[in-house]
Amino acid sequence: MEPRTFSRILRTSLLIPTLVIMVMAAIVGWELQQLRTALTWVDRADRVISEMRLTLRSMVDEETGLRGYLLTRRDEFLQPYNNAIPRVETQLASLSDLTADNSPQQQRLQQIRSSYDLWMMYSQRMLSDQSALTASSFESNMEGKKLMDQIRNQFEETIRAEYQLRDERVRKSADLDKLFLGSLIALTVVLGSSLAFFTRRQLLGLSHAYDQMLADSRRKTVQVEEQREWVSTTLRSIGDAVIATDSEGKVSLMNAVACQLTGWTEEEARGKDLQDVFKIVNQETREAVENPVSKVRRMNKVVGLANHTVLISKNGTEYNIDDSGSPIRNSDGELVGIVLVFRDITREYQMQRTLRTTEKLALAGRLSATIAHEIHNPLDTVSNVLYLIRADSQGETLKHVDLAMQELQRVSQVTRSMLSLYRESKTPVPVSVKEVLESVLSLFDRKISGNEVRIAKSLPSSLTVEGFPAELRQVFSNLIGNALDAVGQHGALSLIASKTAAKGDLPAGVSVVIADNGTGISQDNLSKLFLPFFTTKGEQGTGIGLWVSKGIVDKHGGTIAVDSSTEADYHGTSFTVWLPEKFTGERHSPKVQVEMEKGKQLETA
Amino acid sequence: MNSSNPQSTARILCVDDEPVGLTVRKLLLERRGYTVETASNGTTALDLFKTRPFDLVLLDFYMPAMNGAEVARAMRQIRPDARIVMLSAYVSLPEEALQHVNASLTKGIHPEVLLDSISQIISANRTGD
Repeated sequence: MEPRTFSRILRTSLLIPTLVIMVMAAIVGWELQQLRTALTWVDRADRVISEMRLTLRSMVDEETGLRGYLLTRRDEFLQPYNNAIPRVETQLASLSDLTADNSPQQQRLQQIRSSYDLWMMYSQRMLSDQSALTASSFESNMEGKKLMDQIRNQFEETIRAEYQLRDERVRKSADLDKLFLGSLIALTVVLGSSLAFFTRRQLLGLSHAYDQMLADSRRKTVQVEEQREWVSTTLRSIGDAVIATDSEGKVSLMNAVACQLTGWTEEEARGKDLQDVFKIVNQETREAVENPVSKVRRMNKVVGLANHTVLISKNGTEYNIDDSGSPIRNSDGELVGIVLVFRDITREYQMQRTLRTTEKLALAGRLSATIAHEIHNPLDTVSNVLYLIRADSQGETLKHVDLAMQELQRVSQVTRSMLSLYRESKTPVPVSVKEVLESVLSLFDRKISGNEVRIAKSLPSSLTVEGFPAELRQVFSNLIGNALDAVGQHGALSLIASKTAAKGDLPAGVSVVIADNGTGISQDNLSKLFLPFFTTKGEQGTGIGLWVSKGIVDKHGGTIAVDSSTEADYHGTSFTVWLPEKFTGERHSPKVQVEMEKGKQLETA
Repeated sequence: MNSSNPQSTARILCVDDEPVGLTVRKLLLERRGYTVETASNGTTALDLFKTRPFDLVLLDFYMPAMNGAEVARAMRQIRPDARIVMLSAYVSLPEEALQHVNASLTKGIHPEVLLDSISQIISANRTGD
């Protein structure tokens, strides 16, 4: 229910009873006024009656006084008479005033007045007639009595009329009283009950509205709670990492993937600055990448991260990430936070790198075919021409031609070695271990002599294994290349091939040990050596050499093992590749053997 | 050393699309006493092969229209005992390419290695005949 409706109900609930009470008060007031007026008229009738009685008494007093005087002729008897005369005048005037509204009574009063005037004339005559005889005469007494009786009668009649009037008025007021009481009761009952009904209805409406409001708010609370739960669950279930911040860039939410990638728990991270939790640098330059919060705020739209962005987690692990930041706006369009969605693309990134490497290899393959054709053809011709010249030469010229042929054979050997790295065969063939190792060494000729690396070889020419020559060349090329990188200048390398007899499950085979006296590999790195994309050579290394080598050796059913020492006295690394004589294919669970044999110093010639 | 033995009369068909290389190789083989005929593509070579007998065919692999492997297969269909040596600029040829040849050599090898191989194959055949 809206607050406006609520206040409207409240207003009518107050206003209507007030109005009703006011109307009732007005009615009661009016009725009271009516009653009072009616009572006033009764009161006036009482006053008229009593005034009439007083007037009559005053007149009787006059008569008594006159009669006494006429009998005694003593002035003191005349005193009441004289006293009463003005009183009667006043009383008559008062009566005339009191009955001014009543013309029958006025007429009667007029008659009384006339009778009184007659009596007064009579009394004056009696007083002025000094003869006692007259005064005491029966006739004159009778005349006075008659007049006075008439007055008395007239008064009686007037009083009776007034009594009648009074009775009427009393009745009228009683009626009014009854009406008043009745109407009051009726009004009270009607208005009271209708007020009660109205109030009840209002209250019921209000209570209903209140109930509805309560239910509404409860439903809304449940809805909000459900929605919150839904959003939370959704965010937490997303496969991508999600971090939300407030407008200040403080972390307010992190899902499980984000926790896993950043190494922070949500509790730890909440309230922290985003750049403390979400540390990103450029992979190549190692420079910090612009904080996504400020970037989103600056651009005020959804932004993506630059390529080659690396997330450094709390424990130092690095992840290539793909990321986008979006502003969170409230209904007014104000920025209230930022949501960051990112995912670990390390694998994709490395796959792409591998793909690029593979593409490079394929390109190198095509290139080598072209080189083979364009070099070997003229080489062959020149070689033949020299051979023909040689047959006709002697002395110095013969020497020179021999030298030329020798050098030409060197070129031929190098190109053949290089190109054979890319040869592909489909079935295993017998491969001379010595030939493979020699051809690989010839590839590194320049490096070996340039760095003055001493090479000790023990490569019996009788040793052969079944396999794919190009792949085996790749294995030994990787191992010898690594060894040369490890020893640097003036180092020493030993290549020892030997036959191994069949023993238990293991068939007969050939073991090749490639050892160097480089700085050695730490125990920590040793365990990761054969993992893909692990490299200690930084940008120079692809991190796939040993991984690929292990794959090739596995494919041949062989094993590859490493042994290394970083001790100051005896340091170096040796790789042992064992290959079966007969190609057996991949053996089950060929494990990389990593053994540390301290005290076994590397011997190089 | 073998200049007076019957091998010197052996006939060799030399096939290559590189004219200079082909000419020099012909000279080299003739110097060794062989009778040499040349063809610059597979079709010409097959035409010659059909009309005359050869003790050995020295085939280049990469040639336009018809490569050495195809020429070798066609020749073996005509004469299953034909002696064929593949001489290629490529270091390694697929197994299938070498199904119908007696030996495969890489261009640029020492000429004596080539001559020795040829001589061995011809004499092995002669003794087996």
